[in-house]
Amino acid sequence: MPLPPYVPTSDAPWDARRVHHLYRRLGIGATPAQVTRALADGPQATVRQVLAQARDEPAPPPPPWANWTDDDYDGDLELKSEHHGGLRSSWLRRIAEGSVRAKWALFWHNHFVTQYEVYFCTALAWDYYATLDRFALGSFRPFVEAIGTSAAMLHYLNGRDSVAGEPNENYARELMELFTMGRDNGYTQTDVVEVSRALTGWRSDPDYICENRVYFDASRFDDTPKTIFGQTGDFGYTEVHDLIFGLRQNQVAEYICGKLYGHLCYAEPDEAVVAELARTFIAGGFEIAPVLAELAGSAHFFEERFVGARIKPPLELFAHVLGALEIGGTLLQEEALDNAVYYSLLLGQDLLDPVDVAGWPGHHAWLNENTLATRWELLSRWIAQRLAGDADVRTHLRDRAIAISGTTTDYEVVVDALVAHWLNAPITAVQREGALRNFRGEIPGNYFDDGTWNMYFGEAADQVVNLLLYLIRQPEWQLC
Amino acid sequence: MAHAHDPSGSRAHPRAQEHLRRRGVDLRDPAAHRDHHAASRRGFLRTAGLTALGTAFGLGGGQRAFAMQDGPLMRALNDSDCGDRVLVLVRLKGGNDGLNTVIPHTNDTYFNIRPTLAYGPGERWNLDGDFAMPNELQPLRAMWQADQMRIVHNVGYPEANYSHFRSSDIWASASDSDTVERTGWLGRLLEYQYEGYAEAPPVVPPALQIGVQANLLFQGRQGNLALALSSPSEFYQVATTGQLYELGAPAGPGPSGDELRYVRSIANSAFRYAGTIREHYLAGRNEVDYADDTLSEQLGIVSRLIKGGLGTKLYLVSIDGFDTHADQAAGHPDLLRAVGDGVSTFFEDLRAAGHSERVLAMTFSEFGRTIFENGSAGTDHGTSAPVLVFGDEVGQGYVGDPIDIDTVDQYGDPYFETDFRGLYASVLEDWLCVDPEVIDKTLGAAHARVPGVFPGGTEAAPWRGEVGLLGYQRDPNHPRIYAVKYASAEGGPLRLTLQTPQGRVVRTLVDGSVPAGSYTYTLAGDALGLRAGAYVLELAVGGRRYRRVFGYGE
Repeated sequence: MPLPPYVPTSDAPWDARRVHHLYRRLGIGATPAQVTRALADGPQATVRQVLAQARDEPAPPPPPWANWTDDDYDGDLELKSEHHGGLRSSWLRRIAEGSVRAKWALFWHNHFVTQYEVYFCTALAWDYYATLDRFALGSFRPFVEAIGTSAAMLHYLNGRDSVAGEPNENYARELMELFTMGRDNGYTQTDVVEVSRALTGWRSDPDYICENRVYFDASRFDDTPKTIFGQTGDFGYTEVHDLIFGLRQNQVAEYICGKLYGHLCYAEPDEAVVAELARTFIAGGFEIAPVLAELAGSAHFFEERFVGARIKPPLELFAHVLGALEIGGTLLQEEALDNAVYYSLLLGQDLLDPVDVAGWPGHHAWLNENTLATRWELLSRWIAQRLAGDADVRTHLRDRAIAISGTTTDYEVVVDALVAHWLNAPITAVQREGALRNFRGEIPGNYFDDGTWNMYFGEAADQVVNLLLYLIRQPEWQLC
Repeated sequence: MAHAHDPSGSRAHPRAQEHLRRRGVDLRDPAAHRDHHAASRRGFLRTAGLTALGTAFGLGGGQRAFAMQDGPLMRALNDSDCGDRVLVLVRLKGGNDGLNTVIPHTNDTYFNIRPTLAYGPGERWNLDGDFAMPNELQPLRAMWQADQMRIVHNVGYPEANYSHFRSSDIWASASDSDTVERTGWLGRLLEYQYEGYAEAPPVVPPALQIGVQANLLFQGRQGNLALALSSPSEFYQVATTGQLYELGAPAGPGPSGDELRYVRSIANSAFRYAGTIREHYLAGRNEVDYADDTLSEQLGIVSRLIKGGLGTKLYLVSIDGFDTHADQAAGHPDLLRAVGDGVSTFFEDLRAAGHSERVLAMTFSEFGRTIFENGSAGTDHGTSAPVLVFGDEVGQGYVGDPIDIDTVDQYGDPYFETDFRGLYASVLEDWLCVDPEVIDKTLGAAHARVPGVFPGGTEAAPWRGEVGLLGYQRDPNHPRIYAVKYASAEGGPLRLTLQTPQGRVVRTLVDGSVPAGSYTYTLAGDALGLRAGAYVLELAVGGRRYRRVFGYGE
C-alpha cells in the first residue's frame, strides 16, 4: 500500500517552512517566488512540478575539452587542473542555482564512487559526471550498466584489467556490495568470482592517454559457463544485470531505497517506509523518480520530526548560502565557486574524490568540534571575502532581503524574515537578540527609531551580511 | 533639566550660521546621507575569529591538537606588578557631547551657543576651577573627590572625520584620518603578544567584549582576538550553564531535536572558553546593586569576572544612543546618568573586595559634537571631546588644555588638543607596562605620550609617621646606599619592589609575610647592580599600594 500522501494539517501545515523542507531535501532551498508558488499549488503538485522540471532540465553542455586526452594537454598539468576545477565549480554552480538533478547527481556520485585522483583524466571525469546527471532521476538499471562501462569506473575498479583466466574481482564485488544489493545481502564469494568472470572483456583507454574510449574485446572475455546465484549459463555483462535485477530485485530495491530515504528524509531509515518504497521501485521497473516522488509527497516526509534533521554536507553549506540568496548567473563569480569547492575539500568533501569507494560516510561523520569550528571559519571568510567583497552582490543581498521580508523600514521584521528564510528551526530568544544586535551592528541605535535607517541605508547590505555571519555560527545552520 | 523647549520653534544659535554647513552631519539631508556612508564602506564586515572562542583553526579536519598557551604578554605581565591590571574601555557610541559632559560653566560663550541645552546653576556640580559636570554625573563626584578620576581635555585626532563608521574605525584602529587600517590597536597589540594564537589560543580570552562582534578594536590580521558575546543574555547563558548554546533549549521532536542537540553539544565543546567563563563568573560576585540599564549590566558582568579571577586584561563595554541630533535634552542626560551610575557602582563593587586598585576604566567616543546647538535642540557630529579616566591610582584633576570654544575652525569646531593615540600609548605604557617599542609598533608611530594621566609616585619625602611606604634616606657615608622605611599596620603579606617609572619591576626587595610593625630595608645599589636613574619604589601591603619616586645615584 503506497505511503499515505501528505495532506496539510494543523500539526503539519503547508507553510513556507515545509516548502523549504521539500526544496532543501530535493534541491538546495526555495526562493521567495518558489515559496509563493508552492503555497498556491499545494504539496503534491509542487513535488510533481519540481521533479518534472528536474527531469526536463537540459543536460549540461560538454566543455571544449570534453574529449581531450593527455596528448592534447601535452604535459600542461596546470591547464588540466584548471579544467578539473572548472568541472567541479560548474557542478556546484548548478546545485547552487537550484538544479535538483545536479544535486541528485551528487548523491549518485557518492553511490557510484570513482576518484579522480586515481584515474586522473578530465575527459573521464566529464563523461562520468554526464552519466551521473543523465540517469540521476532516471532508470536505475541502465544507470548501473552505464556506470559499469564508463571509462572512469573501468579504470577505477579495474574492470578494464579483468581478463579471462585472470578476472579482477574488484568491480564485481562492489557492483553487488556497494552499487546494487548492499553488503552481505544475497551474494557469496563464489558469486563475486563468477560475476567477475562474466564482466571480463571490457577495455578502456587502451593507450593510457586519458582517452574516453570504451570497447568490448571478445578475445579477453571468459566465455565459459558461470554459476551466479545458483544459476548456470554463458553469462556476460547484460546477463549479470538480468540476474541482479531479477533474482535479487528485493535486495536491490531495499538497499537503494534505504539510501534514497537516508538522503531525502533521515539518516536512519524507517524500515516499513523503505519496504514500501522498494515495492514502488520494483513495480516501476527501477525508475528512480517515482520513489522520490512518493517519499517527498508522503505524510511521513513532512512530519515535524524530520524537518531540520539532516546535517548539511560541506558543499551544501556553500550552495545553501548561494541558493537561499539567489546568487547565481553573472553575480556568482568563478572565484567564489572555486573557493567553495576548495573549502569543501578542507571540510572533508572533495568533489570528484570521495574518501574511498564506499563514499563519504556523511551524517555525524561530517561534524566534530574541529570540522564545526572550521566550518564557521571558512564559511565566514568565504562570505566576507568572496560574496560581500563584491559591490554587485552586496546590492543584490540588500534587494533579496527586502524581497524576502517585504519591508524596508522595520529592521526586526527584516531579521525575523531572514532567519525564517535561512533556518529550518525557530531560534531561541537569546539567539534572536544576538541576531538583532548583529544586524544593528555599528549603526547608532537611534537611527532605527527615528526613521533615519531603512533598507536603503548605505550599510544595509553589510548588515544583511553581518546577520548571515552570525547565523552561520548557530547550530541550526548546520541542519536542513 | 530645565531644557523645556519647543522643537519647532527653536533655532540654531546665530553664531552657528557663521560657519560652513558641513555636509554629512545633518542626517536629515539625503545628500549628506550618501556622503556619510561613502567613507565607511570598507571594514564594516569582520569575521569573528575562532580565537574568540578559544578554538584553534584546523585545516584538513580531524587530528589537530588544541594546545593552549600563555602568550608572552600574559607571561610578561604576570611577572611584573602590572600583571593583574585590567583595562576597561567604556564606549559611548554615537558621539558624546563633550561640552555637556565637562561644562565650561565660567565661559559665557557656552551659554550663548547652547540656548536651550546649557546646564544652568543647580543643574550641575563643580569640578575644579572653570568646569562642572551635569547633575546626572553626580555619582562620579565621590570618585573625583577621592582622587580616582581624571579628565583628559579635548581629545581627538587631526583631520577629523564626521562619519560615525569611519571615525569609530579611526578610534579603533588608531590610524591616521586618511589611512584605512583593517586591524584594531588592541588587536594588533594582542596579536603581537600572542604570536601563533590561531594554532594555540591562549588559556583565557585575552579580551572580552559584550556586544556585536563587528567592532574593529580587537581585530588582528588573522582574526578577532576578543571573545565577543552578542548580548548580556548570551553571556549569562554561557556564564550560568557553561554552554554557548543551551542544550536544553527548545528543539523539535524526534530526530530534528536529536540532531539539533547533537550540533549544539559539538558547538559547545568547540567553544573552549565557556568553562573558564563560567568558573570565574561563579567565583566572583557583585557586592552592590547595579542600576537597571545595559551599561550597568555589562559592567556588573565585568566586575564579577575580574573578582572571580578570570585573568582577562582587556574589556570593552558600550552604551549606545549618544547621537543626539535632535531633542538632546530628552535623551543625553539619561545616558550620562547611566555612565555615572555604572562606573561608580562598578568601582564600588570592585573596591568592596579589594580589586579596584588594579582596574582602570576609560571612556571613548567616535567624536564629540558641535559646540553649537542646532535647530532641533540637538547637536551634530563634531570633533574632540573629553576622555574620562577612572581608577584608584589615577589621582584627580585635568590633563591637557581645555577646549577653547571661542576659537573655532572653518566648520565651527574647536581645535583638538590631545591626540587619543598618545593617550592610548600612555595607558599601555603606564598602566599595562607594555614595552615602549611594542607600543609604538602597535600604534604605528611613536605618538607623544600624554603626561599626567598617572601620578607615577610622589616626591621623596622625609620620614612620616604613617602606615605604608614611609620614605627613604641616603646613607650619609655612602652615596649608593639608602635606608627605605616601611610599615605594615595589620601584618601579613608584604612586597616591596623597585620599578621603572612605567611600572616594570626591576628588583623585588622584600617579598614575604611580616608581623605588624615598621621596618627598614637597606638598599645597596651596587650589590643590586642598579644603574643610576629614576625609579619608583612600590610597597604592596594590606591590599594597597604605596608608590614613591626614587632617584638613585642622582
